[in-house]
Amino acid sequence: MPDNTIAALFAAAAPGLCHYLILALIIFVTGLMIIITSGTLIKILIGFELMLNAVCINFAAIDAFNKNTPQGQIFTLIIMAVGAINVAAGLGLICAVYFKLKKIGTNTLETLKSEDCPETLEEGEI
Amino acid sequence: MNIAQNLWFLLILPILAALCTLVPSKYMSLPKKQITLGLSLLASGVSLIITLFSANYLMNNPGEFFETNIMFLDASVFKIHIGALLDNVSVFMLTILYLITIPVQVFSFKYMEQPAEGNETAFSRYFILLNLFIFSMAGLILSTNLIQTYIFWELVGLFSYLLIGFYYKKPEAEQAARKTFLINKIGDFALFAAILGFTCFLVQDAETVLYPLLSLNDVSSWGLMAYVQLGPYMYAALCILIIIAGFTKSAQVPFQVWLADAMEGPAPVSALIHGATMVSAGAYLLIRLYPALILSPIALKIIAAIGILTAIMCAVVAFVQNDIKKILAFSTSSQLGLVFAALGCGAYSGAILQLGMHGIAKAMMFLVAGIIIHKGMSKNIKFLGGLREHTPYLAAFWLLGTLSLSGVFFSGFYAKEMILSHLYTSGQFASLSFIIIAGFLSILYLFRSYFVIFEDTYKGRYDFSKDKNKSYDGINIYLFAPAGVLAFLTAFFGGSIAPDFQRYVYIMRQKLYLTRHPELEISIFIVSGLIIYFMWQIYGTKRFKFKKIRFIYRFIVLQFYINKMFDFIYKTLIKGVAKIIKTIDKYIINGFWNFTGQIARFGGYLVSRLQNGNINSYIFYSFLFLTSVLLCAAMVYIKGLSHYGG
Repeated sequence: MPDNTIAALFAAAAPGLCHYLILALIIFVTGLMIIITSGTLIKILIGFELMLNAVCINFAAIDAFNKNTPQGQIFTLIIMAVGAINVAAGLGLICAVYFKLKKIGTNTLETLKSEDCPETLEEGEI
Repeated sequence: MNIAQNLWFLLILPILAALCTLVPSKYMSLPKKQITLGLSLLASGVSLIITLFSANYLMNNPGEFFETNIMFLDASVFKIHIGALLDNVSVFMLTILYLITIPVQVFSFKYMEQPAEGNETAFSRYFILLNLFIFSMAGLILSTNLIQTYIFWELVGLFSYLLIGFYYKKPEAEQAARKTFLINKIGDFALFAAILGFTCFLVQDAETVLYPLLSLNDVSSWGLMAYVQLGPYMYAALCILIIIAGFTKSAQVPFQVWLADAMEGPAPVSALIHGATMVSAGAYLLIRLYPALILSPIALKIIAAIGILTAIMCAVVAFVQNDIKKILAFSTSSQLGLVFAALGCGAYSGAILQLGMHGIAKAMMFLVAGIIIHKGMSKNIKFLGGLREHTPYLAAFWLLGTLSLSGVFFSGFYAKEMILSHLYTSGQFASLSFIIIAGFLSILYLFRSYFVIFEDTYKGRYDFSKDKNKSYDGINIYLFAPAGVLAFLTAFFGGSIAPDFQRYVYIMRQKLYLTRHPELEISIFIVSGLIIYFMWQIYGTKRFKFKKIRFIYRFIVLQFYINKMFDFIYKTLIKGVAKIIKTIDKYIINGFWNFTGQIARFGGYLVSRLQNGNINSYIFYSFLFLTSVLLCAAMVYIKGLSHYGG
């Protein structure tokens, strides 16, 4: 019996729509986790790119299973182009920050920090 | 001449004059000052002509009146009108008003020429205020209903405050003006309470309301209605409120304290306001409401009692004063006490005539006092004396005034005689004896003032030699002529209208005939003569002297401590209550609003703690927000689908 259940757990079904959506969700959440826990500005940019790609997978999957319209694929192309522009702009901003402050950690930009907030725990600088 | 159409001129002309005199007198050369005076005199003169025509017409047709009303305020539940009512009483009061105003304006042209103590625009401000005061007084006299009376009552109080505090840079003048205003405010409050009390019972049935509300032309109608609905005690309470209003305005006991301090104003202001017009406004109110007051005998008794009390008490206080204008101030209170006593005892026509004659004589005496002050002689009668040789005209005027006011001769005699005859005929011997005593007391202080100022030798430092050969004793014609005109009126005006006055001013459209009592008149005349002789001996030739008893003297001089009582009320009670309220306002009410501000501030504190300078957390917060918004939208969408089928 345990074998059957384990086997049943790992039995592969034919890939349906929800499998792709779950994949997109996993990649999206991974990108989000990268952003939240990054110590570097460039890492935020990488996570952002991952989230964009997850959204692309979402659109493409829905489009693949409803064959009436090509909107999903076109939107994927647009997202990719706009994503490239986003990365260019982001890298420009990061360069500006580097030239000004010589560091690109997420704890370098804190002049707008309010005095009422509790002190941050980590003190590492990147 | 169509009088009814010209009624509105009587109200509007003084305001037009006031507007035309809006030229700052810093740039006023002499021609502009004369233009100001000319406009003022034009307004008052035209009003006087209209009034005299109306008086002539009304005297020949007794029982008629002119009334015109416009709607001032139209609430659907009630309406308030403003208008002009000319009947026999109001045309008499209006005549007195304009007969006094015109000399006072000419007088003040010269008196207010040099600004006092750094007031450059004093001249134009004075004439504007004077004209506005005349407007409010005319509005009060001509009012058709009690609510209009209240409006103009307040205006009269306001302009008298501005005129008394005319030299506003002097602290005594400012305090005196404030005292006047606060004491009059008590009366305003009482009058308003009475108006509310009367109105709320008149507008209950919206269909049967008579407009104008609380009409003064037809007092007995709403008076009777209120009496029937309220019962005698509530009605008496309302009447007492009205009486209190009259007392505060006319400086009766215990409200007479403002009149003595109000002498800080310039002399023509005292002549107009405190001699003649404003203080008679209180008596005028009671005269107008007499048919309503007569329904409650307690009210009449109170009027008579306080009138007699004031007459006697203020005469005693005036006896010990050393400042000319204060003697005249207490004299005003005393004579008006006589008016109120007459009114309370039923001598309606006598009260009105006394009001008029007193006004003219008192205004004239205030102008004479103004001339004495303007020439630079002292205000204190201890430093005057012997002016009969130096300024015989002024002595003659003052003598005319004292004889008239004390009721011995000239105009005041007719008024006094009317009152005394009425009391004797109707058999009120107690009041009669008190009023006779008050009359003798007034002879005492009036003739003391005459003999101290004008007889004996001059004790001051004024140099009379430069005035010796000038005309009118070296007094400017602008100052002299008004006093002369008023003196002429004092001498002859009473005699000319008194014989017809009975027929002319009567109460409640019924005629009252008085019989004269020669025995009363002659006996009073003899005793008056004796008193005058004694005064002459004591003060004129200093043959007798009498010691002052310190204790009694001090008691009288402090106005029987009434002044101190009002001081106490003002300083401890009013200021103390004001301090308590200020503390409550600052700590409790302000504290509550500060608390609500603290709540908002705390909320802001909580939110600002989110800004920790960490970019990751910012991104996470924005992601959270976006997700929750999308979730809500999705829930709404799904709910919508399930509701409307889908």
